[in-house]
Amino acid sequence: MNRAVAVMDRVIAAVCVVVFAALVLTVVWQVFTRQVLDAPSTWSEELARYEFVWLGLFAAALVFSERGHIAVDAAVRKLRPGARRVVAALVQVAIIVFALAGLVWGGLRAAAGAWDQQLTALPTQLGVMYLALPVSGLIIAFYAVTHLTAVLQGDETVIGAADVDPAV
Amino acid sequence: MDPGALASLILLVLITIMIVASVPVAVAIGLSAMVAVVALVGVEGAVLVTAQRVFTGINSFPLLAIPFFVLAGVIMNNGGIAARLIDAAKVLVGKAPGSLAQTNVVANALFGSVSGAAVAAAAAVGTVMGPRQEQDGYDRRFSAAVNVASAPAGMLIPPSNTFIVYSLVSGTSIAALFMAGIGPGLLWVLACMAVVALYVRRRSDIARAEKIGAKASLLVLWRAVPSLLMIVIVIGGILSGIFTATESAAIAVVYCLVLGFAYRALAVRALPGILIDSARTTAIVMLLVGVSSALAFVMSFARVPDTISSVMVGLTDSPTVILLIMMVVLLVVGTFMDPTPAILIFTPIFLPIVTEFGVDPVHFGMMIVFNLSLGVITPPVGNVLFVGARIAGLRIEPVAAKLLPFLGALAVGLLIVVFVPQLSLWLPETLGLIEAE
Repeated sequence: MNRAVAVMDRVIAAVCVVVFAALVLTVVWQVFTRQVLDAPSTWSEELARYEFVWLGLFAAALVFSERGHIAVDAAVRKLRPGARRVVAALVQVAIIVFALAGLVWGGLRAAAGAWDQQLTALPTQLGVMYLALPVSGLIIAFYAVTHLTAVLQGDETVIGAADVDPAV
Repeated sequence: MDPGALASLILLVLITIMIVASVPVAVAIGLSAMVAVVALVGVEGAVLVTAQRVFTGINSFPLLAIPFFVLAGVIMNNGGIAARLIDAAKVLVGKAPGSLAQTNVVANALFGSVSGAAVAAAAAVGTVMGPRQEQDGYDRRFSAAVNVASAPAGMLIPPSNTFIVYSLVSGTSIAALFMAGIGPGLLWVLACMAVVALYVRRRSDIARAEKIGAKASLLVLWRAVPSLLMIVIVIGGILSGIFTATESAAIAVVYCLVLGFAYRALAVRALPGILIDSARTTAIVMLLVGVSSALAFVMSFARVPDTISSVMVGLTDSPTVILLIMMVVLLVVGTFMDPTPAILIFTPIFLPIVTEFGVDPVHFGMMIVFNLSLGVITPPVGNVLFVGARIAGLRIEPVAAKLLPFLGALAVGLLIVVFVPQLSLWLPETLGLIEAE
């Protein structure tokens, strides 16, 4: 299980690096074509938005692996160890329910609904772009299941949450 | 019970329980919004709406400014700008009483503006300034408090990611918010400097600053110019209409890369790590923005702002009292919740109420960000306070005790921001970014 997590982390991190670099190049290209070539690119904004969606959802999944999403744990910290473990397990269940219902099920329905809807500038359909939701949802659920198993096996290191707002 | 009221009730109860139970705030928002939509349109419709709203919430070109500003900030942090900005701050402060503590305040403002992150400012500047102040006779608890209190100034001084988030939920212009933030940002700096000045007046044991020659001063300032030029490029680009905020942020990334390589502070093999760091930071904000779009859907469908508004108007018809109640609520929320989720949750509730009696949305943005910035330096949950105390090698309590006069001064500052709209609106109105009333 731990090896699977490590491999998954590495693959997602690599995807994020590539997509982020592409995103920077795309927007720089947009500025360049408009300011220097005086012939604004027709596809760069659309491409940048979808690169951003995939980057954001994949990176969000990676942050779930590290349990790094903002959470408020001031109250939970006051609980006894036994109660904390129960709450920690329920937190992972909440993540799994949200990922499977909202992102995977809802995302598949959204993708099916927009499957034939051609994008304006890119040679693909909106439905294909919507697949970012179920794919990242499955990855998030996978990480949450590994955390849940660890909590149930009595591993204390997965209890407690990070609380860091990056905008601070 | 009608479906709207039922949905509001489900939303309120679930979101509170989950946040208190330490469910990641993004999941708490997304899941409670989804369950509330079930009450309106059933399960199949609810999962579809949730997925669509998360997707369209993220699928936004203006939002793209955030990863780029984050990336530019991380590159800058890796490029050793802290030392240059601290030296520049020292020259700017000169021989003012308590000059080392004042230098810390000004350096935090400069660094916070360039890097856009208060925690990074407190860590980078505090690490250098703490030991220097101790050498010159400052109480270590006091210098840690100075560092902590002044670090959030960069969240108000542009460019600021917090304002981009607010711009998204409020529909206000990023350029107007950036310009409006300068007044409250400087007020934050002045409040901290005033407390420092009062503190050092009665202490003769603190060493005076040595005089720096004019030539050396110019050289120091000159060395800081390239780092500060990034702000000029971003703000100038947006104001002149050459770039959108997103494009200016991408240009800032390129500029910081060039600068990092020119200073030989940046290696190509460090880039993947920098990109991953920035992607992580961005993703945390993005997921919150995405699920908040689902939350906004439920709230407008269930008319939550209307309900809260009628309750508030039932209590009092004084706009002043309503604004004060909101500020107290946000101060309490801010002590345990971070600014980004708090802005995303409370703006859609409060903004329609205050615009009703004539508050400008840009002005309200200043109030909410200034207010929530106080929460990051107060216990029980204040990341800047935690980091500032840790790098000073102190526990939270002694630093928090020395923070009290700063919190008092900043609370007065908040009242000024709330009741003197000109402080925020004068600059954007003068520049024609928002219509004067």
